[in-house]
Amino acid sequence: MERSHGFWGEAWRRYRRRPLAMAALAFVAFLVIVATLAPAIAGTKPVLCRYKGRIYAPCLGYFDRRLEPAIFTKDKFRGTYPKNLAEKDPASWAIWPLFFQDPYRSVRGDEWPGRPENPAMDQGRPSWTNPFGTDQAGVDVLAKMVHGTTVALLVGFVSMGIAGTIGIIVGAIGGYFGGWIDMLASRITEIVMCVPTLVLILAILAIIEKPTIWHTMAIIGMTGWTGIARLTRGEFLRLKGSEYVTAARAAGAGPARIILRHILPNSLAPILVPITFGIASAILTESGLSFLGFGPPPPSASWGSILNGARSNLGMWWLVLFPGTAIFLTVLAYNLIGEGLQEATDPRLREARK
Amino acid sequence: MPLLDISNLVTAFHTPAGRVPAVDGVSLSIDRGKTLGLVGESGCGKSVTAMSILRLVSAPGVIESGSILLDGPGGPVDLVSLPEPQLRKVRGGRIGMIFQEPMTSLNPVFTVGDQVAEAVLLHQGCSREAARARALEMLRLVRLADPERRLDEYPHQLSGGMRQRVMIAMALACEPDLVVADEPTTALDVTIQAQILDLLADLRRRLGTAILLITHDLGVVAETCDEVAVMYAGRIVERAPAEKLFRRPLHPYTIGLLAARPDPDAMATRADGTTVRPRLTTIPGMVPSPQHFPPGCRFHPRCGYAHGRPGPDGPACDGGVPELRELEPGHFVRCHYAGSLGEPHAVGALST
Repeated sequence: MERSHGFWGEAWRRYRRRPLAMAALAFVAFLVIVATLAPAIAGTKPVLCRYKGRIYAPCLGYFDRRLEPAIFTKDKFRGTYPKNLAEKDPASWAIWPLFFQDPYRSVRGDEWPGRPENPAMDQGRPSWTNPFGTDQAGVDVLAKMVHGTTVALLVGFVSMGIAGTIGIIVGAIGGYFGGWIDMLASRITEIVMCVPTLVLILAILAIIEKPTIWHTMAIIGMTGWTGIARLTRGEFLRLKGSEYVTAARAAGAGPARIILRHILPNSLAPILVPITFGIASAILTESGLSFLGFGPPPPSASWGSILNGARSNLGMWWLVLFPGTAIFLTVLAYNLIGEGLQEATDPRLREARK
Repeated sequence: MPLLDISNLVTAFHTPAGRVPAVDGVSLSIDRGKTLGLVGESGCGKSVTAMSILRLVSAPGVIESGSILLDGPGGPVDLVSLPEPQLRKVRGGRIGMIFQEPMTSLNPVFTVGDQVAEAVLLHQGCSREAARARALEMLRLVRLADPERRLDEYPHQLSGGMRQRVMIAMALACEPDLVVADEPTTALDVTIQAQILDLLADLRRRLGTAILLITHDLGVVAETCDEVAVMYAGRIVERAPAEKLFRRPLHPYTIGLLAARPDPDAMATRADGTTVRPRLTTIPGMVPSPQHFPPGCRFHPRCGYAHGRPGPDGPACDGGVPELRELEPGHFVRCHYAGSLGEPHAVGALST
């Protein structure tokens, strides 16, 4: 006898059968791991170190400056750990990141025993010390990309989180209640649909004094929900007349319960597909903005802003190839996941299974 | 007073093509613990009547007039005008509903146990564990095989008959006074049909629930109902205790319906002496569309007895609307000539 799977169990079983979609999922999982462990993968601050009798984790400073232990500022380390640790406390030890390069600055000569200064400008072609090369200022591209993974992932999740929430709420309310409420919801959706996202982002970034990546994400989210709202509305229109919804009403369920418990779970699968595609397009939008120079200001690193560096110097092909490939692969992965989801949750295929 | 008393219910759909009165002045009443069968062809308005009771008719359908009185401890309430929050307590709490399509009436993403428990949780302030225990008890009551395991299964893992048992468990979970069963057996195999009807009859006896059974199957009605109402084109045309109706139908439509039942024993003798099964009797013509109901008695264009009327002896069949008259005690008929129909004639023009 077949075990109880439920809808999502079944969908996952069918998703697993698609090698490309699984590879894409693995790639995104890999990006998540890279983003979380970024300071331990590439950096110049020890993951763990013992200094003057105590254990510190200076690498956390990459997540937030305030997490970097104050003692190192007091002892005037100025961000360079290996020499300072050895000179100021001979008994100290440290566990270093896998790859000693900093995403925000060029590594100076002799900072790491026996290593020359990072080359800058078109001298910074890929080498053993800088596998993906360095940019104009001599900052290592691989380190920048490792730390930029966070931005790439956040942009997708946060902006589509916002868009998904708004879209589902607007679509659900319009589709379920119908009448003038639906009219209003649909017209608002259409108005927002007419707003050119890129122009709005540029305008808002120009107004805000200190734009951050969060502003970009919020704007992408607040303009990108229209497709999701329309799809949700359609699903709600379809399902609110379904027999199990009538049965739920006949059992005495109120609108909130019907929307949240009976219709939403059944309409989530088709809505999830455009959200996944939306993540891909949000990443592209952010990369495009960064490429144009409207990305997050330094020191935060984004893949698109590395591309920007190649604009003024076309000879530095490595500034295009590596981040460009990363963007391409990530967008491709999300599209493949979306496609996989679509296939796995398609109601026609669900019927064919029986 | 009866448990449920519907009087002069009018439910119409306002479509772009005009007003469609699917239910046009229906009056019914059901006593506590009794079963009323509502019979009629597809499209005669019986399902709309059922949906109107719980105000589940969705736009563009509107209950235009009439009252639906549900008797209760605090005196009768009119379901037509009851505010939505109170109505929700009636739905599932005092009136349970069973639908025609067990395959689609259960939510595919929840387990059977969750759905029955939800019905309990909606009306009784109890814990999830208690609701689950009640769900198990209900599944046992409706004689679902292996209820402990079924509790955690999804609807798609169940057969049609099993799902209908789950629907019945949901409808009865809060021990309602009335169950509205809208063609509960139409989508099921004949053998399963019999089991489900037995179950309903058994539960009615044990729980004292009144049942409004909507069906187009006269056999089902004969087996299970105390009283029968026959509906045609949005109106009740005949209402009587089941036994009376089957023994002596008075309305030409009911007579036609009963005559149209296949009789397994009937044999006809041909000219050469061999015997064959006789052709099935049919009612000529089609059910009129609600947009174009004929004037007067809505059955008259198809009625074998209407031919030649009006005679000198009475009103015209295509004239005034016949009243629902009590011809014998408890036996109501909506026909000018009921009781004195005479011999049927062949029906001529059947264009409508």
